[in-house]
Amino acid sequence: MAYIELVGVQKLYRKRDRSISALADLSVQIDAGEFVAVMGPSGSGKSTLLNLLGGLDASTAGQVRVGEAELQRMSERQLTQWRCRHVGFVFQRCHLLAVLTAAQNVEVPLLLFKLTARERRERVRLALSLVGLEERADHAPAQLSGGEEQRVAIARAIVTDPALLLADEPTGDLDAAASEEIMALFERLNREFRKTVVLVTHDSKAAAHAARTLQLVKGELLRDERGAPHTVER
Amino acid sequence: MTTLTIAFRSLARRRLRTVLTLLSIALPMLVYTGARSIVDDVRRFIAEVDRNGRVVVHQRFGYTTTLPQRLREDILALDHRGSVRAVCRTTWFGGHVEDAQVAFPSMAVDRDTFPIVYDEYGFSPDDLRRLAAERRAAVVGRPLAARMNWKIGDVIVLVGGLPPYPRMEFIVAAIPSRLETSWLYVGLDYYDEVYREKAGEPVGVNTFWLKCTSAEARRWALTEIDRHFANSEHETRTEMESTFLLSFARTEGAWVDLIWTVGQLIVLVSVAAAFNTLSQSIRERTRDLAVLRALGFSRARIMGMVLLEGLSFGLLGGLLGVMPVYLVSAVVSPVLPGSSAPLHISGWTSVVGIATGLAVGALAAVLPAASASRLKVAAALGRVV
Repeated sequence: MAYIELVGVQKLYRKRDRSISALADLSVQIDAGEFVAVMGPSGSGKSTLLNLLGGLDASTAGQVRVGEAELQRMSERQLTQWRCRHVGFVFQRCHLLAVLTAAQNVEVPLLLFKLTARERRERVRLALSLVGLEERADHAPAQLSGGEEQRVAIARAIVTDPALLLADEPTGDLDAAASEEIMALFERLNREFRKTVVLVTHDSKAAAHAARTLQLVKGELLRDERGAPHTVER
Repeated sequence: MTTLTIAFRSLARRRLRTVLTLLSIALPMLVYTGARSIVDDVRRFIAEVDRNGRVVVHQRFGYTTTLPQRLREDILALDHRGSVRAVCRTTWFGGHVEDAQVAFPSMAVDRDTFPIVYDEYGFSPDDLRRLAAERRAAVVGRPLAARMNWKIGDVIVLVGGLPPYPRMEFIVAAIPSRLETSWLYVGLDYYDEVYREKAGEPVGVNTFWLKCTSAEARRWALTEIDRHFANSEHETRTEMESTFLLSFARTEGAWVDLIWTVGQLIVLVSVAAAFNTLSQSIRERTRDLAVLRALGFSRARIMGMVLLEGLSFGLLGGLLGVMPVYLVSAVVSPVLPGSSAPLHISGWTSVVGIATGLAVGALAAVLPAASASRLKVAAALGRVV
């Protein structure tokens, strides 16, 4: 059985008296430990897909299952609890809390677990060392480069050891060298730690790190291919 | 680190705004606790004062019009049943220390009966002996003596506050242990002697204070004295001490009421100001809160965090508002010139002040907290389609 399964998923947004279709009858299966890139032009439904997989949004129709969790059947509260245990998010703009240090940002998701301060510190140290930023633990986000900030965001996403990593344009704001570092990190997390990674990107170089690429256009699955992606006009 | 750390760090994010918001809560609390303390002081003072068993006799139309000194004997002559223990004449002296910019209230009183009528001041036997022996004796309240560094036996020169402004020498004869005001009392006989010399007439008396032996005796005094002097050249009005003091308090009460009303309005304004700040702060942190929600923070936890921020504002604002009144109460009031009843903040008023601050913070935070908890995470992260 696939780890992630979407069956006939539809997502409509209402704008005044108009309905906008973000996803139309989408059916996809993703196995545990896969590294999948989702590509497509703006407005193709990539981020909507990611939000549905992370339980941040609900589908209008269809079924979304991740592991044992039937997301469309879960309450807001159940989704929140499920999310903190099973999903790690990485956003395009990192979204680190500016008032906290790097280590404190990584520690934030652990506040939802029954852990001692010492256990939390140890996990934070491990996560930061995994992304190569142990020595920057006490720095504020403003004192970090864009690439370092994104690595802290990745440490925050993995500190709870989730099975699924969802990344939304994680290299969108980075230069080529920093992008390459970040993608190498995702690849390592997928390969060494068997994380299932779903990555939304415009960048075909970034998508090339994934083993599989889903091409979306206007909310529909245009291509589902293994290996290097085709480029699609924006 | 805890969720509290995030809430408190968020407060420190824009320090100037945080400080201004704190002030917007603290200042109304200051007015609120200050006004309440004054009202409490007046009420407590009035409630307790009649336990001293005194009634006051003054001119029918007001105490500023004086009566002749001989009325003391006339009043005593009316008392066939031993209702009055002693009568003390008091009149405004209004003296000040020559060439010194210090002000304090002062009265001329009967040296023989003042310690009897005002026995709650705690005159010692030595005080009484010196007071009886020395016609230039002055009785000084402890805070005033401390402020002026006056000790028993010191000679002080005062200039009277009313024409003919006599310059007179006094000797500090008593600093009674329980006279916790900044008042000064001098002998009426000595003042009268100097006054007669300069003005050519005896000094008039503002008030006659009667120490009554019982509640029944007070009732007698309240009816019989005025009846006796009715239609005479010197018509009187006899009142309970509390009633007399209330005539002062009424004037004071008008502005206390005003402060009180304004204070309550300002509290509402501070709710609006704190609400505005918190709402703005939440709007600025929409993405941060959305990230927390995405990381698994529940609606309740987010709501709690924002409420906590509001409560922290309220608590700190309340404390900052109560503290100055407390400082005035504990430090400044006792040395204020002319403070007969120093501002006193009660524990209850402090609690009410701080609790009101908390309520302001909570009220201001409820709506922002609710809107933060209802945040649509995907939309707030700005990546919908």
